[in-house]
Amino acid sequence: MTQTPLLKISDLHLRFKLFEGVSHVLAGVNLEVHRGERVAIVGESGCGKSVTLRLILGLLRGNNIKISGKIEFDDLEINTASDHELREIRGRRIGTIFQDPMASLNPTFTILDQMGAVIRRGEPKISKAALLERARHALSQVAINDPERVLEAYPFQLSGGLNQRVLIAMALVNQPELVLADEPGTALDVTVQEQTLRLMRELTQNMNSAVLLITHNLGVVREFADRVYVMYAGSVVEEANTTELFSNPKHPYTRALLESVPKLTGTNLPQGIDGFVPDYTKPPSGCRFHPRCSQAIQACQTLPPLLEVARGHKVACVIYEGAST
Amino acid sequence: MTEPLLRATNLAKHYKTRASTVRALDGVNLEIFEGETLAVVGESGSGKTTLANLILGIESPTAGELVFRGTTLSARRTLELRRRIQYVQQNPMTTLNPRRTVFQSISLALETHRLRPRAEYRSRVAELLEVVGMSAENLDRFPNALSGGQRQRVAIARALAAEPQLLVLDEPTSALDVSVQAKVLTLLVELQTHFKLTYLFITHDLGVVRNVANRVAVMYRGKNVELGPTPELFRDPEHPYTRMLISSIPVVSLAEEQLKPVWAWDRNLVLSSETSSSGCGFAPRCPYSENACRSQIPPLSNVRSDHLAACHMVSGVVTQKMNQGGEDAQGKTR
Repeated sequence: MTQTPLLKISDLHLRFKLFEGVSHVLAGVNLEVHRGERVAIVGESGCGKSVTLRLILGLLRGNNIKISGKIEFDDLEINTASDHELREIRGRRIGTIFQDPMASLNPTFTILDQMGAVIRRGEPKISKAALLERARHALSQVAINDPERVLEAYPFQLSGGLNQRVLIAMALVNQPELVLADEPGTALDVTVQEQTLRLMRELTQNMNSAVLLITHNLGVVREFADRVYVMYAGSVVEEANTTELFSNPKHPYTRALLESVPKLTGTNLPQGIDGFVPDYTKPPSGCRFHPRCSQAIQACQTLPPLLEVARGHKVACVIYEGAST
Repeated sequence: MTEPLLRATNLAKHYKTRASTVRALDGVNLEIFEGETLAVVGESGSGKTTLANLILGIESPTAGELVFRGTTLSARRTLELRRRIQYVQQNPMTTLNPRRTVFQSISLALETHRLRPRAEYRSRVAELLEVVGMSAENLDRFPNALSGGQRQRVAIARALAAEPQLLVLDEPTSALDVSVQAKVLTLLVELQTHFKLTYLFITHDLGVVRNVANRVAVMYRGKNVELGPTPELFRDPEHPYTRMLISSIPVVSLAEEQLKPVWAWDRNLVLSSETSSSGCGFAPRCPYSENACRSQIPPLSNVRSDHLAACHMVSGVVTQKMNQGGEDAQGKTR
C-alpha cells in the first residue's frame, strides 16, 4: 500500500449552524480508499456515514455549513473544487448508488432517458445507436434478461430489486474509478440483497473500481468489504481489514455492536447498548462513546488518539494506550 | 395436542384488479398455541402483513376461517374479542399520532375498552410505561421528543394497555438500530413471560427469528411453504426456498457461516420474479424443479410430526434430493 490512495480524507470536520447552537456532526474523520479496494463504513443511524458520502461528492454547500479538513480524490481537492470540476467527476469518475431505488430514479422519465443522460456525461457525442447498445449491455451485466422492456419502462413499473439493479448499472456504466454505495440492498429482500452484492462485487472487480460501501449491517460488511471503518457519533473509532476486525474487535463500541447482532448460532438474546447517541450540539468531552461505555475511566474525558494495535488495525480508545506496536 | 389459541384454515385473501386477481394470501393453514412465539417470515409480497390484517380484523378473508379460542372470527367482532388481539406495527415514527402525547395515546386504549375508571388513567399509564422500561416523565411528551426505541416502547405499552392475549408484532424492530433492537427484543421476551402473552412475530430478519421464536412459518407468494420448530427448521430446512433464505443471511462470524445450508447460487434463477400459477410458486426460481413442480401444487405435508413443508421433494413426487445438488456451492464468499 505504498501508492497514493485514490481517495484520502484527512481530519474532516463538519459543523451545522442550527437554532439550538452549532452541531458538530463530523469530528475529525480520517479515511483512505485505494484503487480497486472495497472499503466499508459501518455505524448506526446518525453516526455521520451518509454525510461523509455527500461531502465526498461535494453535495453539501451552504451558509450554515462549515467544513474543515481535506478530501482529496486523486489530485482534486473536493472542498475547494469548483462546480465545474465537481461535475467533471460525478457520474464519470465517481459513480453513486443511493439507498432507496424508488426515490433516486425520476418517475417521469423512462430508464433509457435516465441511463442515456449518464452515458452522455461520459461521452457527449455518442450516437443514438451506440448509446442504446451501451445501455442494453449495462443492463444485461446486472442480470436483467429483457433489457429492451426495462429501458422503455418507467421506474414505478419495475420492482424494487429491478430498480436497484438499474441504479447499479447506471453507476457503473462509465466505468468509474470509485463507486460510492449508500446502503444498497437495505430496501430489498435478503435473497435479492445477497445477489445484488454479488453482482456489485463481480462487476467492480472486473473493471478494477474501488468501492466505498456505507451500511449499518455488519453481516453485509463481512461478506463484501476488504477493509472496514467503524464510526460512532461523527468519528472513526476503529479501522482494520475485515477478517481482523471480525475476529479481533478492539474498541468497546465495535464489540458491543457485534454483540448486539442476533446470531444464527444460539438462543441467547443479545444485550444491546445502554444510553443514547449524544446530542451533537453539546457532545460529551473526549471519547464520544464514554458515557455509554462499560469500560470508561477518567482518561476517557480527553480525546483518545488513533492507536495502531496491529498492522493496519487502528483503535481510538485509551485502554490500548501503551499496547501499541 | 392442546387446543390452539388461534387456528387459520385455508385462509385466503384475493384482491380483484381490472386486469387480474392478486392472490395475496392463498390458502394458509396454521395454528398458534398459547404462550408461544410463532414467527412468520418471507419476502415482501409473500402475504405476511395480509395475514396480520386478517387476524386483526382490519380486512375480511375471501375464503377460509379463523378460530380464536373456539370462536370464529368474523369481520364484525365484539369489543371483547378486539381487546384480546392487539397490534404493534413496524414504523414507530408513523404509528403514533404526532399530535397526541404519550399519555393520550396510551389512555385511548383504556377508554375504548373501558378498562379503568377515568381517575386511574394517569397512574395506570405511568405503570404501563414502567413495564416497558420508561419513566413517568415521558407521560406528557409528544412522539417527536422520543427516540425510535422509546417510541416503539410506547407502541408496545399501548398494545399492553388493552390486556391482550395475542400480540401481532409486524416487524417490531426492523426500523431500529441493532443496539436498540436488542433492547426491545429483550423487553418483548420479558413481557411475554410476565403477562403470559402469545406472539405472532412477523419479520424478514432471520437472525431475530432464530433468537425469539419457538416455531417458524415460512411464506412464499401467499402460501405457507414450511412450518416447523425453530432449531430444526434452521438446522434442517426442507423447502428449497427456506434453504435459500437461510443461506443468504449476511452473518458476522465463521461459526454462523458454517451453520448456513449449502446453496448452489444461480443468479438468473434467484433474481427471477416469475411465478407459476398452476404449480409450486417457487418452481421458476428453484434449481431442483422438475415438470411435476410446474403442473401440480405441492401439498403441505408432514416431514415429521411437527414439521411440515409444501414441496414435491418432501411429498415424494420428485425423487431428487436437495442435498445432492450443491457440491460446488461452497465456492460462496470467503
